[in-house]
Amino acid sequence: MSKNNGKDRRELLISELTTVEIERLAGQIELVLLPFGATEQHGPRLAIGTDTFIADAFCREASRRLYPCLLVAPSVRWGLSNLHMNFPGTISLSANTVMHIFEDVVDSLASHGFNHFLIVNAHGGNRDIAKLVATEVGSRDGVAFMGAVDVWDLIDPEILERHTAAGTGRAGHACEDETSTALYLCPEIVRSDSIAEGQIDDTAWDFRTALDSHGVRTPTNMHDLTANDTLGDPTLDTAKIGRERIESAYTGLAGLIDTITSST
Amino acid sequence: MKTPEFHLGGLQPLELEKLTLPELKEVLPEVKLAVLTLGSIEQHGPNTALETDLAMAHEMSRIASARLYPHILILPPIPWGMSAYHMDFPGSMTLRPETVLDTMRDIFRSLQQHGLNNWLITNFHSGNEGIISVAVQAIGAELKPDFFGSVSLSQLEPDDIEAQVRKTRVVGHGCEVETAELMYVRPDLVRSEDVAVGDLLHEHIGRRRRFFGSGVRLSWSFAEGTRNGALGDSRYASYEGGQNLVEGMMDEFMDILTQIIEHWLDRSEPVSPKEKSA
Repeated sequence: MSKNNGKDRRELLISELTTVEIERLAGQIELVLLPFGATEQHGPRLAIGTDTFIADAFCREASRRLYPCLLVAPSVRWGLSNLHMNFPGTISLSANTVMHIFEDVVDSLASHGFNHFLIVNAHGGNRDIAKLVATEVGSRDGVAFMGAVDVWDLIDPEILERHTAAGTGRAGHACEDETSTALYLCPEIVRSDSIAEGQIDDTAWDFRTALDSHGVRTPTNMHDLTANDTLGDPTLDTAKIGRERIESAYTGLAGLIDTITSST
Repeated sequence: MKTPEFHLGGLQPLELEKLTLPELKEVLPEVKLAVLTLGSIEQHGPNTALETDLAMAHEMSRIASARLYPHILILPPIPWGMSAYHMDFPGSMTLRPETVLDTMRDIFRSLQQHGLNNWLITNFHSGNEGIISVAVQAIGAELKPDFFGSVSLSQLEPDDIEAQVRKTRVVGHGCEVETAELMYVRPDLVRSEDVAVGDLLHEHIGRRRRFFGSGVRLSWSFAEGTRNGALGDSRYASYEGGQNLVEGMMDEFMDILTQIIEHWLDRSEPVSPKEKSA
């Protein structure tokens, strides 16, 4: 893929471009990124829109670095957050609604000739639906490639293991990993002065871990898993860890895009 | 989003996405109305970015939220709307009507679970007005909120100011009026060096104009009426004109919000936000 290292690199957001600019750029676009977030409480240390802000900021910066190959669509700002509905502020869509939104988004863009799409998801609860959407919508007319990837799956596994070993081992939501990531990508949403280690229910955590080991997916209400909707220990966050994770994810994304564009 | 700070007068809007859980809990008893913007991602010719209507509605809602802090809670906007008739122009995106309704229903049902039962939809795109009317009627009947309404902000332009800003006959989209408004609200979305006169197909527009205001609705593509997607002549657009228009619309909007709060919200039984099964 061609990478422009000149000083004219900029983010290519559909929403912030004019139709004339989109038309001019269209021939150079290799892939459209579809950021997928959530609107759900993230405890006292992170903002309710954390997942959306992470997905959005990650895709914007990726688009800038790989200018002009990546076009970024408006973020889908709500996802599957049923397990967080006990906390005020959480907005959850049904799986059908999520599917319909992505169908409309992809159909709209495919009508303009864009035919390579990648959902970039930053919310654990969206993992399954994102892949299902890619499978379903990817077989529609006008779509040459459609995939879904979770931001953390782009990170070098060695780095992930090292951070897991250094952390609490009970991460996954509003935890040290997510807080570190936010500190690097969107520091304005982190309340660093708030102290909150996850108040995890051991029995519920062990049950979930045991089911996971059998490959069983079952809804576990976040309120039953942790009293303060925090997992891990977000106070172990550092921007350094966040930088290491996300820089690795950019590398992972560039490799993934090479794989996609060289074979489709 | 990038509303110039001076529009907010040093105040902050109350935005759901930017609050933490304890911050939301603290302010929730004061929240009187949740505002959901239905935007649009559609071509505005060479003049302004695709999110023009989204930006106008969202930013005007944020300004209102800042002025009435902490009573107006801004929800994450739905960026796309009903833009099927703009799809001939690259970059335009559209939702199907059922997707708009499904998304709104899920969002409002979620709010209801948190005891938030007063809802307002804001909009700056005339193509959205039909589906919003359906949503208020159908979702209102289904979920039975305490208050549910909508405001088409673009219809709040004071006539006398609009008459001063408007320099051409066929306006309403990607024209000198809208471009001026965006110059004031989100100047980063205006391409001042590229703004152009609407390249109109007069014959078609003339045929359609016959039915304006007559109760007749015609299906069409915007490409039938303008080659470059614009109307009017955005070369006449000015910051000052936009400032006068937007501040005029904001005065009207604030008046509407005050009336809603006084005549509906403050009269009904206070709804206490509750954490279920806590």
